[in-house]
Amino acid sequence: MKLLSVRFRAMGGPCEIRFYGADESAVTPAQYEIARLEKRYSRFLDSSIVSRINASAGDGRGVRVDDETAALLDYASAAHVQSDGLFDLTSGVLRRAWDFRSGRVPAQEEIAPLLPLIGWEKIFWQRPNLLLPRAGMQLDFGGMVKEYAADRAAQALRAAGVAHGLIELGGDIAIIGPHPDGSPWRVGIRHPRLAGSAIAYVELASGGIASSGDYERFVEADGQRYCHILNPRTGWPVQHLASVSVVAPQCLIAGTSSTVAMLKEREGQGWLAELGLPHLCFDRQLHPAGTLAFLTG
Amino acid sequence: MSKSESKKLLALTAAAMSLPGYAPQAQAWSDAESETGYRFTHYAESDLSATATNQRNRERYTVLSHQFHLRVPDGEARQYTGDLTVETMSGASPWFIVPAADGKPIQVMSGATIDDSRMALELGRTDFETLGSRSYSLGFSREEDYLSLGGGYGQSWELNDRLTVFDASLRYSRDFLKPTDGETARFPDRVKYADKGVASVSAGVSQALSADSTVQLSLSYGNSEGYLSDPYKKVLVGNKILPDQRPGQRNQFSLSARLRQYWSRFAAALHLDGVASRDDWGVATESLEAGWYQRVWNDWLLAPSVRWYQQGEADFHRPYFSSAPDDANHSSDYRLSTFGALSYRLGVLRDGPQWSFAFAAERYDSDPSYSLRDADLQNPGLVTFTVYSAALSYKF
Repeated sequence: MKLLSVRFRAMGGPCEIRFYGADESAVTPAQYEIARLEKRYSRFLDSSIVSRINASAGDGRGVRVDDETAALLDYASAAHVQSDGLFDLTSGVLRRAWDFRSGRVPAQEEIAPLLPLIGWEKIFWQRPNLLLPRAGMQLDFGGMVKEYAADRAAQALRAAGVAHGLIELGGDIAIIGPHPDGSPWRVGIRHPRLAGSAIAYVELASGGIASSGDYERFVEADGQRYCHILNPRTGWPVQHLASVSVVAPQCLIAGTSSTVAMLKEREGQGWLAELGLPHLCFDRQLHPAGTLAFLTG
Repeated sequence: MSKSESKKLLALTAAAMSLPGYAPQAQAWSDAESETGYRFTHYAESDLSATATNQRNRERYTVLSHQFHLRVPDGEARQYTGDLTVETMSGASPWFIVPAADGKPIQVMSGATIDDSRMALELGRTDFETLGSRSYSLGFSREEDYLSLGGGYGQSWELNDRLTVFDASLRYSRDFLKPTDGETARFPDRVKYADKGVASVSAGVSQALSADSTVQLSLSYGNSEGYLSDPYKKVLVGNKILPDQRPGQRNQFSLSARLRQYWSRFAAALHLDGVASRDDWGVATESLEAGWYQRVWNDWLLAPSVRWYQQGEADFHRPYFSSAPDDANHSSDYRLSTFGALSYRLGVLRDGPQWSFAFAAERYDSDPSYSLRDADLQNPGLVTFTVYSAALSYKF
């Protein structure tokens, strides 16, 4: 058994599976699972469940969803409540105004017409029936599918007999199990201002870690950074924190928690403390704060 | 910091636990997966009783059946299915009936053992819509002396927050017969070529009464036209042994009612089914079935069921005819006689996220005494059979 590494691209970013095994064939089911979820929850494939949901907006009959999507919607609903309304799958519609590749900051006149289309409380969700009452409303699973896929891929690797390893999908990590000698994995937390380098390292033997930050996609104008984490009530980017990393038993919960902490801005750390999960935040001056033990080199 | 007591974290964790794979006993979702399956069935009719026939060989039919199933989704809104059946049949079947000295009917069996095989293929497509589905099917079935080609269409509509579902379907098949040894010197009155058409339509409504109970009512109508007799059966009329002769038309109505009640407290479900049918041959049938589906531990399900059936005979049925009937029709086929039947079935199922397994055994016993109707003369050809089946399916 040797330490192997398989790198590939999925979910819009670089991915890596590191594990102890005889050969690389053990990763195939995990890659298949990631591809399945990417296809299923893609906004761009007409045949995906997300396209079907979004195409139904304004149709009073709604859509019936499968069990897996229903469980994700239930989870999103719980996250909406626990985040006091900040975690919201309907806020993806703001992408119509915010194009981070264009380098342009939209005017308030472009954002205002989208706000009535946002609000989880406006949709009707009663398993298995989902109804988006207004034409133009959208659901975007992008804020949870990557983390969910990391958990599912870790489950697939365990099912394939892998006991020691980790999977990283675009910065979010799910641990399959510790090194064979029981020691934890040392994983890097991305530096919010120096692409490709780590600002800190943490040690993990189980569960998952996810990070959110203002460094993933952003526009700079007038000396100000406008990042992709958008407040669903205002339509404007958060300003307070540069990055938040959270450790949880599931990568999905870690991801939701780090996103919500970013959205909570000044109250983010307090919200994480109330949640009781180990976390590490960096503000825009890169001052660290939190309960997660970390190393710097 | 209150690590273990955070209500927020508990709420998120509880919601995540219903995702597939997160909790130890999480369910799988099925409709995005492909599924393949195989079922083996062994059907064996019991030998005729010594009093029903005076022949030495009282052996009847045995059928071995192999069924292969494939379901492949195409995107979120469409799926294709394919079902292939290969069967081998052997044994003897009732031929005609003669009276004993005391008038008691005695069954004469077809002499030689029949060995035949059947292959059937059915292909289907289902399109799922916002509130309902449409399905299309095409199939054929082939035996040495028989070819059937058919197709069907079905649609369902979901209403009333999906608590009510209407469905309707129609199906047509055309069957071509070329009986073995037809119009030969040995069987000069056996038909050489024949065909028939069978059309059926059905409509139903199912209504959820609560989260745990559903009722369903459906009505169906079937019309058969063409050669509806059995080319291999004969009948004693007066002192002549004539070919089985039935009307060239048959119109049948049937009404069925179903109840499904689930009790989470017992992890069990009750299935009750009642069906009644009438046709213009004079055949009337009624059946009642009760099944109990009990989850025993984790993924195992035990399903015992019992079914009662009775029918009243066709106008032109008698075990034998002492004199020629008024019209040209006459049959001594036990399937058109007055009788009742009881069957008992036990199924064991294990549903896994990928592998599923099922085993079932059924005993079917027919007897005029199980019927509320009186038969003037008991048809001695009534069948008793045992079925064993084992099935395996795999989702991928």
